[in-house]
Amino acid sequence: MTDRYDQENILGYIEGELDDAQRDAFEAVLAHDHELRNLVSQMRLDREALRSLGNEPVPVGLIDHVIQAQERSELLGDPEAPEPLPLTMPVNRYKLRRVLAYSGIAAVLLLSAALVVPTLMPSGLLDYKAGFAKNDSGPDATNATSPDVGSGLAMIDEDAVYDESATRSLARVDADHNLPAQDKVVATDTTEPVEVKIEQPQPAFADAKQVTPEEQPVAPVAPTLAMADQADTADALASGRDVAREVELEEPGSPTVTIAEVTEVAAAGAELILEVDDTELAKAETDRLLDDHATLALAPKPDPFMGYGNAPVVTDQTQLLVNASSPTQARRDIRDWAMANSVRVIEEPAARTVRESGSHPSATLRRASAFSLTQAGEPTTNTADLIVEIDQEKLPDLLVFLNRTPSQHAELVTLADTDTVMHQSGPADERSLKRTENRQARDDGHADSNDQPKAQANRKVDTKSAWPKTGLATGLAPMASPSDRGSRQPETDTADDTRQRSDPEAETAPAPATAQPFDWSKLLSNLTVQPVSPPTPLLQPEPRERLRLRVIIQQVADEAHDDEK
Amino acid sequence: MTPSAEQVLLAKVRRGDPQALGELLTAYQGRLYNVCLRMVSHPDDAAEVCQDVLMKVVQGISRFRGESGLATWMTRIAMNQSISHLRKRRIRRTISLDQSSQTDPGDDQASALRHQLADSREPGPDQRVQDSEMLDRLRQAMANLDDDFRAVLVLRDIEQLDYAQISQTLDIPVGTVKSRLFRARLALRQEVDRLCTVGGDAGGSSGEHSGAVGGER
Repeated sequence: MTDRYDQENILGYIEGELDDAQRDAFEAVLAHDHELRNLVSQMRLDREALRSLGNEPVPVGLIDHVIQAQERSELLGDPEAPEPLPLTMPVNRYKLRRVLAYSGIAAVLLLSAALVVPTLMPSGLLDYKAGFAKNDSGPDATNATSPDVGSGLAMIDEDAVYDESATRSLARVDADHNLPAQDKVVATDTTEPVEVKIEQPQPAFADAKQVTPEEQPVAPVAPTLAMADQADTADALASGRDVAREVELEEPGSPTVTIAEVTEVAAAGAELILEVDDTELAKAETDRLLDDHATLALAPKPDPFMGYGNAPVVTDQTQLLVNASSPTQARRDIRDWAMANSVRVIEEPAARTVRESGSHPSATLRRASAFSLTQAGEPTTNTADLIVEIDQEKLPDLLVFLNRTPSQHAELVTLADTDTVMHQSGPADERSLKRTENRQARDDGHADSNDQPKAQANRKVDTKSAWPKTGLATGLAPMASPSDRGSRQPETDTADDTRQRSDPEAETAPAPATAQPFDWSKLLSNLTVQPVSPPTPLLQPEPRERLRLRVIIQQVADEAHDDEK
Repeated sequence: MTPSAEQVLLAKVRRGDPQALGELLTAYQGRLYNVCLRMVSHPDDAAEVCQDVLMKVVQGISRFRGESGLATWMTRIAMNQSISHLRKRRIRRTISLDQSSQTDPGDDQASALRHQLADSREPGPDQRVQDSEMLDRLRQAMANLDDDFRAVLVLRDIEQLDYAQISQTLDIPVGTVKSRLFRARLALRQEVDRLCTVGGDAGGSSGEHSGAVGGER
């Protein structure tokens, strides 16, 4: 029967998906076709009846049965049961681990052979070979000239030239493995924290040739890694400058090791932070790579923010919103500046994601930025923002940096005092409150502790006024008048702010394009301050379990240089 | 459950958090149970199938790549599991009916099926009002429908999914969803009419009905 009709039209009518014209046309057809009208009507009734069926209550204990079955399968290893839940280890990781294990064993054997054989020679176990030597004058490593490395030990047997070849072999093994020769490694713990302590290095031979600092490897990592990273690391150490970078090598069959940071540690050597996939791999890498001149310890967990540059841990950070025509270039510029000045700058990694959820102050800052730009008569389009967090002490330097270069891709717009924002959000952060109040008292010239009750009484007003006072004036100065960038002094008088908010004329007067006292009350009225916290990585890629290892690489003792000289 | 909350929960489950797993299953068990119930038309069977579904969810959540929604993915599992259960039950039922026909030659397969379907009805004597009769008839008609038709009706009318979601769940094109939905509605209407005729026949047998209603397939 329905073959006569357009089924899609009928279905569209039943589902209510036809537009007005289609519905009118179809109803006109229905008006003349009683049979079709009856069928469509009944179908619509069926549809409504099905929708009214609703949901039946779930039997009690359904989930419990599932959970129990899951636990039982995990305990008994039922092959038909579900797999265990923890799924942090991908399947192919097992293959990689197997390859790594074999590679590690091979490397350890080679390294052991390189270390043990030369040790046995002076102890007399291999001295019988010296009896066949034509020249029994003893070891003299400084005269080693032969480039033949692979045949070093063979030459001992065939030519009985113990003194030269043995020492040369040892030296070349060291050079090839980027390791000094004779340090003793003591592994103190096999579980976390992984720690390897190195005893004082002692040369195998008192008069053996010592590796010069230029030849001395800096990063005792895998050969593949060393080939890729040694040059840069050595340059970094030679220049005496801190370097932070990330190099991730993912060659087939090789471990994924990220050199996260390389820092200079006093005059002793370098500090290298490795990131490896898991603890077992870290141990394997420890045994294989960090055999000598290295101290391995667990490094602190990485900052949830993506940081670069290195500096002492900062306690009083300021969050900045940088409007940039090219965020990438701005990010690069700020990163270069941070690295050149040893300043730690933390960039918000998931600004966009978090901004969408509105759960981060970036949304607040963005609103503040747009509002302030509107007040200052500046265009707000064609810009993107970049939020960084910086030590407040370094803030003036960054301001100078951003304002100095005409071709700078970024313009600093808004600053927010993290501490104050935290306080405004309501959590009982007494330290933050204390700092804020102290800062205000200092700014107002009332650092006396007798004013504490007054500050407590005016807490709400004071903290609100302190929020823009800390940075907004500084940040807005270049926006108000590009020619005056950097010349405007930050506002420091809280009373002025209060007066400004209470002045109705100030609120109603239009904001001129030139630098004017900013109407903070309007800005504050548009702000909903939220606590500053690391963004929840909701929509980020699943983080891999990685272990950060801090490796302190010790340089050759000064005595060695003296001996060489 | 909001997508972001779902993502959080999913991430926790993947990290092996049993509490998150419990929350996730609790959040979706009602929906999955009702899908199973509408498909298999019997509460005990639905509970059994739903338990299997939840086990499969636990088993396969590591392989869930997020190409479709989590709910869609779970519903698809529920659909497949329900259809699989119905096929097994159909085989068992056929064997059982064959055996019973040997012992009682006078009872044909259709009447045995009808008795079995009648047993699955829940209304008591007090509920025999017209609306509940209509709903019961509708449930029975749904139970008599072909699995594919019942699936598309469950997803569209009971779960109220749109065409795209039904397409993802059943893994068929949207055009097929529409045509199948129309035919399912038509088959349902015909089956309800048939049941009304049978019911008005004061217990008369319906020898014409010998299996699932496939409509104009």
